[in-house]
Amino acid sequence: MNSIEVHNLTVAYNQLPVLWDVDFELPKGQIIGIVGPNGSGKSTLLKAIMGLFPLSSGYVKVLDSSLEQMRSSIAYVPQRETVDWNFPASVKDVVEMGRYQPGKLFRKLSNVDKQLAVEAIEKVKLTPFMDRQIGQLSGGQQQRVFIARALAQGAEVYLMDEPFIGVDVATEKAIMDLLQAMRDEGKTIILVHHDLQSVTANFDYLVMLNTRLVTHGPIQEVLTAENLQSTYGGQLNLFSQLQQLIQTKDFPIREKGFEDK
Amino acid sequence: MLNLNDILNISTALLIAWSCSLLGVFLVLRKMVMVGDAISHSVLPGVVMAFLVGSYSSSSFILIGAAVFGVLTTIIIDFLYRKLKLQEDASIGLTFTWLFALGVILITVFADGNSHIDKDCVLFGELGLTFLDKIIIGGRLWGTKSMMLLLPLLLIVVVFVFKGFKGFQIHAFQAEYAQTKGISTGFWHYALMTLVSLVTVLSFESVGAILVVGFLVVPPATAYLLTKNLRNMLLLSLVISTFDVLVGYFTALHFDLAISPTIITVSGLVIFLTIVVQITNSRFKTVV
Repeated sequence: MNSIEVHNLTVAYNQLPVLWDVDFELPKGQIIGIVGPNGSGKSTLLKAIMGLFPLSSGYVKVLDSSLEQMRSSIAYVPQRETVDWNFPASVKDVVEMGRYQPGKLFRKLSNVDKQLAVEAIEKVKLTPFMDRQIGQLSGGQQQRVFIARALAQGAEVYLMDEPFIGVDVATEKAIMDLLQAMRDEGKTIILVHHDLQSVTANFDYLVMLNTRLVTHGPIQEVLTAENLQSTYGGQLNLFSQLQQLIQTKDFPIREKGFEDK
Repeated sequence: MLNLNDILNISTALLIAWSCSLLGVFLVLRKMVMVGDAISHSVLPGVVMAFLVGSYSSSSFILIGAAVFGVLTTIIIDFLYRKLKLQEDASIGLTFTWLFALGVILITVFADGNSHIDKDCVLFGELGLTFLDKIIIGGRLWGTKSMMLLLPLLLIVVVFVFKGFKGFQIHAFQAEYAQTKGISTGFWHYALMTLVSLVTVLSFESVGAILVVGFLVVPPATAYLLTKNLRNMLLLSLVISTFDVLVGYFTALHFDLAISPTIITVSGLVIFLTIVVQITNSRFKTVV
């Protein structure tokens, strides 16, 4: 069974493709990193999976079913910057939103719902801050509020958009430990990540993206210099590209791509 | 001395203030106050058209006309802003002035000289005159005509805001997240916009199109400064608007001023005082 399947996915924004023919199947129970340079469509991919963007083509499957059927099993953790942290809400208020369901918004939350929220807050170690207004938390704590909300939902698959942005190294480690504990309970964690340095130690599986899918697979297999070059190549300047080309291919006397013709 | 007409006027003002301050909380939190302003102006053509089709007494026409134009306003603004990539404030300014101008022309052409609807009334309203439409059944006074519309609307607003609290809350906090949970953001958006349209149109003859925004914004903004809890913000907003109305009304009565502008002036002073107290308090705290 796959956690997420994406087939022939193309997403265009203002008629420019942000994702082009992306096609992959991701395993369950792993920490999966989506990496790529700025503007490579990482966040868009998450949003497309969550149905926030109209797809130009292709389709998405969550746990072998449609997104609509699996909404309660998949949790989206948006970027921290997308939220007004001055909003009058406490940690508990936000985590309880994880229990909100369409069609049940006119009803009160049950005690079970409230209990699950409290447990989720406990898991991310924010119990002492339960009633604190969310703006009065540190960046790492705010990120943990979002994770707690996803946990409260009781999801199997977690999609996280840049969870490590704007948090210090110690906090990053704390969050990573939390994610690993979730993984060990069989949850699937898919996260968009910009920093390649901390990738190898912590992720099990990698999706390398640059508008098109470069490659995906277990981290030992796909984290090669060649793959990194094709993922981030566009960002290196022309000179270093040329250098690399000369190193691998000697001076080109024919245009690349026509070697066999 | 407080006479019957004063009581009717105050009741009308309170009904408007309470509806506005509840809805205003979500407008403030969604940073959509100016859309509320836009709606309060651009419902005018809807009102006039409904007025021309039916008569003023058939208020259901007017309410439908207002609701349609209110929602239409937000759709046009969204279209200009999201689809055509015009700046948001430009989209708002463009939409409501255009629709309001259309409404004013409709009034001057078709309804000129009519006692029930005229330009000045639409712009400024006159709270002091609403008591004229008394409803007396069986020799007993039941209220005024505008109260008969404002009261049910307030009940609808109260039920929607407190029963649908979770929906408005999650939508105001993070509409995108709500969407990923399968919650219809359109429903909550247009529910709010429709209610705002209805409230503003019913406030026309009492407070006018310009000042109704004051009722929508100032008490919720004051409450926002005072609390970091959404439920408390709603309740506090009600308390503050009640205070503003009472103090404003009696000040106006005493100095013989226009009523609704005095109420808004008072509410402005209240938020100003709140800010002063907060600044001096925080200074005090940092010194200690």
